[in-house]
Amino acid sequence: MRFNNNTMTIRHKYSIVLLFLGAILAILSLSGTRSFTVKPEILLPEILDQQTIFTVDQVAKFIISEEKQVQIIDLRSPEEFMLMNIPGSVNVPYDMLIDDDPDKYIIRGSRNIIYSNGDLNANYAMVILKGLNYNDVYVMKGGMNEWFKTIMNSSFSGERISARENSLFEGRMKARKLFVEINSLPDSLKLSYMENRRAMAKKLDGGCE
Amino acid sequence: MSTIKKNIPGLIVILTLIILILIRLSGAGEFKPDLKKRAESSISLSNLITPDQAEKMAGNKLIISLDENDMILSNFKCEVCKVKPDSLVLKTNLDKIFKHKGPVMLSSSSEELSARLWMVLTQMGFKNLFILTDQNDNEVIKYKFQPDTTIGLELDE
Repeated sequence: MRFNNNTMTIRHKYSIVLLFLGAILAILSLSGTRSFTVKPEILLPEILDQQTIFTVDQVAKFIISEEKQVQIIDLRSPEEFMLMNIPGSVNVPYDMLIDDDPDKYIIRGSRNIIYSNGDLNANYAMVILKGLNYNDVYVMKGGMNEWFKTIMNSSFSGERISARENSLFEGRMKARKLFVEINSLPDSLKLSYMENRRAMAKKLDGGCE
Repeated sequence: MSTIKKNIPGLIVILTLIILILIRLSGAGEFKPDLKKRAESSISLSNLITPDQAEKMAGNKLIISLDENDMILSNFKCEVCKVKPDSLVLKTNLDKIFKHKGPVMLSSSSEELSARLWMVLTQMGFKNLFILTDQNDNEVIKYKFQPDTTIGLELDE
């Protein structure tokens, strides 16, 4: 009888310890939500790689050619996005990206180019996404401010223009035209504008419906 | 002893739970849990500090100089530690930052570099970490879009 009492006491103690540990685990799983899954020594070279940066000229080329393997993500607020955005971009505000599951927004296997107004938010977001093991994430250097400075406000003032410069300016002018046209339209017409543009390009290429 | 032998299955369960808790507390590798909470100051921009604000800041300050950004550093009279970005996560450098009592500031001529390394260190659990910058309007749009076909753009200011 004495042995039984002793056994019960030990069982009680085990139960209390197990309940306590279980409670700690439960609390930790609630508060300690997501964390980086890549080790720091692996992440660091990846985020310092210059290949993670695209210039606004490179992004402009992607837009003009409507590159299919590229997704452009605008990290700014919805209000800023509504006012103007890079054609074809999707709006995922920075705080939403941190809060939510990136699987909803990041297309694996495509080049996901992120931008904000400047350099900070896009680079924070890039590190977060790389830390969560999303490899195909890139930053548009300088953000929307650099887009305006280089694409929207660029002009050539020299006497002679080289073939390379000419190609560069031609690309900028096309991107500028597209940016102005699409951002001047009401939101309801933006999608149909892009569809018409694709249909026109198809006709010019000699393709058929 | 005989009691312990009888309760080996129970002990195994408890040990497994303890190991799970330790893993959870340490996070994956050297990064700490709760990504969102750690990144919060980047949303509120409270992780940015201008040289003037840094001067007025109390405590023993440490500047991590990521390149030869003498324009900002020349004005400071505090401990400066030069660290190459690619060696930031070496144990010696991490120990230096982690053991420092007081605010730590990342300084670089490239804000994108500071931003990237700030996020890495923050997710590793470093608090009281700032980006030293002389322009705290980096995320403010400086241009105004005119919604028409005339491409005359004007600065806000």
